[in-house]
Amino acid sequence: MRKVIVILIALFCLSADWVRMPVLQEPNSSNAKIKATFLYNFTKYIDWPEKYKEGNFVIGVLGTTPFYNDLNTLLSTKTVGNQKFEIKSFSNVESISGNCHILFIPAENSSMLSEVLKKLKGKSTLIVTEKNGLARQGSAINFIIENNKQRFELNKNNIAKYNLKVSLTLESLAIKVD
Amino acid sequence: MKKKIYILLLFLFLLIGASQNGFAQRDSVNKAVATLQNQLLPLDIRTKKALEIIDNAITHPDCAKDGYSWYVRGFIYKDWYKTFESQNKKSKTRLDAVDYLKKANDLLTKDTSSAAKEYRSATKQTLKYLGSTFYNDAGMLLDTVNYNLAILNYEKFKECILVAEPNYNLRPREVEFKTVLADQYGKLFRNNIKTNKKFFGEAEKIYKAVLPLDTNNFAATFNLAMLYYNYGVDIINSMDLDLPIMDVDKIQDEAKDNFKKALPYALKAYRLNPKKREVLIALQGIYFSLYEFGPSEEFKLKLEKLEKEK
Repeated sequence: MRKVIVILIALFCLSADWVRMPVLQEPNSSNAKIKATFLYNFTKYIDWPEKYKEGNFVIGVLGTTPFYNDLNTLLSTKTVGNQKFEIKSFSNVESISGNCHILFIPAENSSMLSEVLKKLKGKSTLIVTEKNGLARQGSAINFIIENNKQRFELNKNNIAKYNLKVSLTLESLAIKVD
Repeated sequence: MKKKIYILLLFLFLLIGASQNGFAQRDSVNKAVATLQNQLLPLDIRTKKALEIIDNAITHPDCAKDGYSWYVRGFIYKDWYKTFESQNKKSKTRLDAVDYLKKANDLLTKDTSSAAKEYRSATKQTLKYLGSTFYNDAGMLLDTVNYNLAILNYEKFKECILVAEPNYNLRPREVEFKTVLADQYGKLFRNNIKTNKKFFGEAEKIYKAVLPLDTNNFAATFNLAMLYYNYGVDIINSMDLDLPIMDVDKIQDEAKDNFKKALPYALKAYRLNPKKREVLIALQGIYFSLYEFGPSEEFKLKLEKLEKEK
């Protein structure tokens, strides 16, 4: 009888190791999405001169950055009025050409800002940077991090220098910098 | 060897059953046992015949209140399940076997004879065996499709084991089953974060119920961190670019809230298992999502170091 019980106990084998590791999400894509959403929204709240309202709506990206691919993917089906987005990658300041509606300067290329300002003088390009202090050094909009969130500074004077008009809505959401 | 012992067991029951201060119907019960152990008949035939005999015998009032008769019925039903339905996760026969064995246990508890003690012990072992089949089936069924059936099987396991062994320590099983159940709810939620929000709440609730049972449980700790983290990322990734700019901040707040909830659990998981690649990736990602690039870089370097060591 006892032997039988031993056999029955042996049958009581529980399967182990059910626990599986969850799939991890890619964080870079979410940060890029926030920035792309802001850039796309800027096109709704900033007015470019008439001659910039034909052809493609060009967003230039200075230097090599994964954000170029993110913009291409995220904005491929979007338009600004009748204008389709065209994302251009400029390897250096000299290569910036044609009507560029927005020029995004990634943090790692921030040192090129002064050169960019000279190059784009007289044009209507919204210069967007992402390093502390650059809105005071010439960029129109500067992405910053505040309270673990992406926000943006706006320098109205720098926007006006490029003959662009900014809506009050955008102004109200921005951190204003003189 | 097993077969011989099995025959011996049935033979013993037959002898004990016959020697008990019995009644006429006990003969029918013993006939069912003898049929089940009749090696001259093929397994399927003798199991079917034994089941017919015991089903008929149990209708008699004397058998109906006899613990031994219910034990034999439960045992034969268990054998039927084992022979014909072991792959059937919804087997009615198995459920019936549990009911009969529980009834046997109740009746045998009231009987103080030494034979009743033997039958009761055997009843509990059979329940234990059935409990293990429910538990293993629960594990196999635990996915995003069959989770409800898995829960039913797990509940049956608990029912069996607590009758067989009232002091059984369920805690490790609770932790194991519920952690994986919460994982499934988490997956269901992420299949569609807009329509399946209730599953997020379910997963969160279960992880939080499991952790006090086993505070250093790595899987529950890390998977809860991932539930929050992945939700944060999903909130942003599912955001429509045409969302009014004034609402982007709300989205960021909601995502940030989840990243912040994820962080302490991910750090705890790191303390529990600092060499786990997934934990280092997660912490790198959480800090990155919170725009805390310093700590993110720190965990990225730790990950690179770990990869080099391998």
